[in-house]
Amino acid sequence: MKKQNKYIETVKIGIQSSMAYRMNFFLSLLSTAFPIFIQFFLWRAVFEHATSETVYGYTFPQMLTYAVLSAITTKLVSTGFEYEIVGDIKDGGLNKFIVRPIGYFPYRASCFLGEKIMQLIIMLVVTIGAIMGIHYIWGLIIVPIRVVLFIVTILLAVYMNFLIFYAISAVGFWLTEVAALFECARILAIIVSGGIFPTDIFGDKICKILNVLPFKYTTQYPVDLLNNRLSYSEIGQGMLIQIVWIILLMLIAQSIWRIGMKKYVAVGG
Amino acid sequence: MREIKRYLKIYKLFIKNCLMAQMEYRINFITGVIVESGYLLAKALYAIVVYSTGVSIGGLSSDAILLFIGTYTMMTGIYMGLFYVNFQKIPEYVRDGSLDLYITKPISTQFMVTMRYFDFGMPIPSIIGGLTMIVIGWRRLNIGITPLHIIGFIGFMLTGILLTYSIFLLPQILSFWTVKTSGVNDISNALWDFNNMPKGIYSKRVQQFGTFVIPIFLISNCSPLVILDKLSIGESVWAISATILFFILSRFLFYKAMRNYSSASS
Repeated sequence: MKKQNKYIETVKIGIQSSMAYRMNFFLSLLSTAFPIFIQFFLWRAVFEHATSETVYGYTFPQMLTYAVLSAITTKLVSTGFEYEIVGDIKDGGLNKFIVRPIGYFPYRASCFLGEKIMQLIIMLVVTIGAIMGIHYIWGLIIVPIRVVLFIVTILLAVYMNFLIFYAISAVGFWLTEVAALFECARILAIIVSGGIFPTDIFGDKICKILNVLPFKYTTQYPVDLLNNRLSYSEIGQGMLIQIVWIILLMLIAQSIWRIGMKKYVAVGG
Repeated sequence: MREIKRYLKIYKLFIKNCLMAQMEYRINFITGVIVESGYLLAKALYAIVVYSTGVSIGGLSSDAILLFIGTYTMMTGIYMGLFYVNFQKIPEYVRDGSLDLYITKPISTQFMVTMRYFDFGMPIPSIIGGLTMIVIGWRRLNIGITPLHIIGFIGFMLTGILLTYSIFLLPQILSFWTVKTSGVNDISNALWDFNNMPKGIYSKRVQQFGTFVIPIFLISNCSPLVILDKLSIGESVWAISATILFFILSRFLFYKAMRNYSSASS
């Protein structure tokens, strides 16, 4: 099989596996709607009593857009393969990748891409529907070029989060009980990426630190871009930071995996 | 009475057995604490927003809202410790047929299935965090600590616990018919989070739905309302009645489900 073909096949497997539990996917999509619902009422109360037109720098339609899009984006960039990777490390599943002409990193990346394609399409439709709704009811301004840039930054964000959790998964080389660690990393990443509330709620000092870390660029940055909160120079700057972090994370993941592989004992037959 | 004593004795043995198991696998205990600390942080974000925006909801100040967030957080800890692990295992019992073994035991199958496990690690962060929020809110509101407040608060916490059991067992009972319930699980977990804010924040229709149809708002709204002297007699009576009604409903549906159970393994 040609080099590219095997990864295209892997992408196809990813698509198929994401389609296997459709009902489950739609139910979990529905569960994403509940926190948005709670936030809608919270922000409505906050803005009713606010003395100025903006809260944390957001107008009411912008905050609603944020609540909707951050929930969708969090779902979109979320991973889940880390448990499979640790399983591969623990049970010797990596063995076949050592002896066969297929790389583990491109295999995982293709699989992840395949699983995300359907989600990306569905979520994009939901996103467009949601922002159109907010546009008609609360007057959110939609700039078409920003929608295009949003899609580009979302793709970069998905890849960034993949790299973050691919690097974290390498912890499986050293520890066996990692489920809680992953869950904790997941929650913390959601909080500091602005997946629940904009990171502006933490105040200027913490915001400055979060501005240089990669997490914010997986959720808050693309959402703020679409929300008209960022100028075009800030958008360019953000995209550059995303690319720099992607390169850095690739290097970090590669180094950790290289060290980890030296510890790998290839159990199993 | 003798039956109650017997069940209490058995429950004590369950707790002892779980404590021994969790002390043997301490890493699980520690990781449970770590994960729940993460969730606690996510819940605390709501308190940060409430305080930094100074929002008031239906006449409730930020300190009063903190009472609600605290009670909800504490209730989450209790739910995690007493029921969550048990409820999560029910679809598993149905799927792999291990329920067969529980049916043969000379005690109520519902009791055995829903109360067998007790988690010591997971509730710690939520109970400490929730209690801290309640104490801070209570003190800042300058409300005296009277025996009536304490009895009312604890009393409605107890009805809240029973109501939690009765409402959140229902999606798991579904597994007797549908086998796979993870999607339903996601939704019931999301429903639980509605109590993160006082019910007064929601529209009238949502409040009515959450009070009379699926009374999730009665779980953690009544206790803080007692402290604030804002719980009417009608609401108190309904909270107690709904608890009894839903407990009967969960018993009835569990019984129905058991009649439908047709073992999975050989």
